[in-house]
Amino acid sequence: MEQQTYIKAINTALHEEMRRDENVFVMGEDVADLGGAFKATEGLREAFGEERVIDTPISEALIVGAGIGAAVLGMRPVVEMQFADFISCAFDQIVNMAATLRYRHGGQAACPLVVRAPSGAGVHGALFHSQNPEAWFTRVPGLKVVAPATVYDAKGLLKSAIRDGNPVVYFEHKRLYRSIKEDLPEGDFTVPIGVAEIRKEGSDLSLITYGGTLGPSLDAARIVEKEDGLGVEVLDLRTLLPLDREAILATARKTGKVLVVHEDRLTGGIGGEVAALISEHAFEDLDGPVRRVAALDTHVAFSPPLEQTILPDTNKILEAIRSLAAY
Amino acid sequence: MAIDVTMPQMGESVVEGTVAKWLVKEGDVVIEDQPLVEISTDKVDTEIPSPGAGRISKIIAAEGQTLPVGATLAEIEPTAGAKAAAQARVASAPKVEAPTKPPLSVVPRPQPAPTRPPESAPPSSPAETAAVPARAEALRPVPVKTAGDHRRYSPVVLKIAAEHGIDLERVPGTGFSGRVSKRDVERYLDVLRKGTAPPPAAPVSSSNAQAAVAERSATAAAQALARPAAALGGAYKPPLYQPREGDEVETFTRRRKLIAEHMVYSKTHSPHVGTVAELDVTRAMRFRQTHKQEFERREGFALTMLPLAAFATVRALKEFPRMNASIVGDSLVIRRQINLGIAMDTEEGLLVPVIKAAEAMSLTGIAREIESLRRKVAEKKISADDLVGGSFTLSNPGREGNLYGFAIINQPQVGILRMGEVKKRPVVVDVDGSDAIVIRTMMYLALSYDHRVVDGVLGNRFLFRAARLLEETDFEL
Repeated sequence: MEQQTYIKAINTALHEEMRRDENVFVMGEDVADLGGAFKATEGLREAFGEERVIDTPISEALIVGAGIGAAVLGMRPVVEMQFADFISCAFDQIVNMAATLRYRHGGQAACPLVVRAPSGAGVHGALFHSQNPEAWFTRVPGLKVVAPATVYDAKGLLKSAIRDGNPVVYFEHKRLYRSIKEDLPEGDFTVPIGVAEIRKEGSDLSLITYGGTLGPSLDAARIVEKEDGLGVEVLDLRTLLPLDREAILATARKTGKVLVVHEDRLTGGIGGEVAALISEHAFEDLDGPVRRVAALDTHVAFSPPLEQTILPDTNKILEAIRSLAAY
Repeated sequence: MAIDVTMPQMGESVVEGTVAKWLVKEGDVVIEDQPLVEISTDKVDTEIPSPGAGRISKIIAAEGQTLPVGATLAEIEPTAGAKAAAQARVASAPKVEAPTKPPLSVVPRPQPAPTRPPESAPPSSPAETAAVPARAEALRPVPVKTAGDHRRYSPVVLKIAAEHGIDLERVPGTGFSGRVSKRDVERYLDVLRKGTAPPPAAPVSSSNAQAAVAERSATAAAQALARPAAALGGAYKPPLYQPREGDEVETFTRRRKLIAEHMVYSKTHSPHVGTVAELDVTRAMRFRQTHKQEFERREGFALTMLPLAAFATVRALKEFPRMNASIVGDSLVIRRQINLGIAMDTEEGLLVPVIKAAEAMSLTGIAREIESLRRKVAEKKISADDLVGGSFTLSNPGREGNLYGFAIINQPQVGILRMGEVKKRPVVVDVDGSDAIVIRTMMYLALSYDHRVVDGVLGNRFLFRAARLLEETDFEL
């Protein structure tokens, strides 16, 4: 066992996968010489050489497009968007090209591509370095979308993404990079895509979340357990496409009250889809409205007090839990 | 050994009570018979005296909680001195009705819900025992709230209630504005499970026909539930209260609330028709005058007009059994036994104690029964059993300034008579074939009847008959 940070887990996963499979290679802006803007790819070029760790021009469309080409020919590229905010430049490549490739070729071709996207706010990065664009991709058939919230999942899901035969967009939360640490088991392990995980059991209310808001959600759940005697079940989605419907409906049926929490904006966020799923399939078990805590429908501000106002945090989650529990 | 304070049997028809207020707290030292807690039922509020001396070691039932008869409310740790005595007392205390065999049904029946008065008169003959109550039980409607009532339930709460046959109106709500949450129902179920025999047991019906009727009634009720509550008039809200200096705010007592709910239910569910008869009560007044002193000497209370009117009403009901009836679901249940409710005023509001089996009583019998009920009401000793089971009601709200008026029907009955002003008036009468104006003592008698089941001809005939009986009967004491 070794205490590792979230970013170290990503780095280790890349090392291990590149060692395991010579088809795995890394592309992106400053990933080679600099080891990545956040040092996620640190040491890779030294270990695997410049043919497998490639610095690219500043063009996200090019990066993903090149990755698709390599993937179709049997490589397993892991491409990095320096900030998830710029993934929109590669939107067409991901959504129209990568996601449709298998379909367009009648199943005769595959696109085993991983797009790493450092996302999330809370690091005073303002509107171009704070976005959570995951919901843009979760309605695209042919893609898989994951968003690890723990160090273990950061490693296990990245490995699964690399080994998956389909394009996977991997949203890693920047605030978690060095703020969380876990004891990780040595060696190889994976986390299955499409399986959510209960992080805390409870019977009074379900809190469904993922990524950057798992931590504050668990904090809030522990506070209400201690102060109000409320048992909050916290479900970490881990994969956003495909959603683990069984786990979502099971916890909704168990408690009858559901709060969905995410750092992405409220309108059009995953929370809406989760709420709709529950009201369609678990209505008879509901004891209250499905509620959401999310970022305000605005751009993330640079000013810290404004940023705090816009983003969800432990206090906002706490308040929402109490209000829903009392409903 | 701790002494249990349990929910007492407050009357045969009462299966549960609500903890209104604790008069003691945990740790308090109490003496035997000291009032511990106030319990409310649909009709009466009672203080429960301590079954022994000691220290309140644990209060189990929370205020607002509704619990079945026999459920433990608190535990008392007997003090050393009191221990032996208390134990002896507990050992010898007569057992309240065993919780494993509650009256009629364990299911919290919708019946005593505040909006409808309970309807549990014991049947008059053994033959009826089998048929009538079972049928009435089967027909009992799922409570349907009125449009003005905003109590709504979440899907899961409705589901749990349907699975276990719970009447949600009896579940105390702790959620937002008194909403009944899933937790509340589960807690209620828990109490039921612990406090009494295994719950529901579907209503017993002895024949297929009954089962069919029950099903139809349940379906109708379910449909009624599904209908949007505010189809008509639900949108109206009274103007916001603006406090002014000098205003006094009187919060509704439980009794007031029950009366209000009952009246609103009756007015919104039962289309009332009013009709008035003019009576010549000269004979009746003369009879009363003649026997006044002797009666009072013999019985110890005054003979009033009320027992005469009650007697005439009972005789009229005998002739018109359809007026002595209850509406149960979508059926009319005609009662053989005449249980005449007599409206009585109290400081806390209207009460309607019931003269049971009045059809077999003489005038004196009815007078004695009214007097006994009146005394119980005055002394606040009226029990829940005295207040349930009425099949028709007579109201006498006082003579002065009351020419006539229409009372609201005491649900689920189908009619109510209301006595008006008794006054001497010039009246045209026939004297030996020619008209003459004479002075007679006159009274108005007003009938409100439920047009769902009583049509005009029946209503008028019944009223006419009751009026004639009061005018013409040769009363005997």
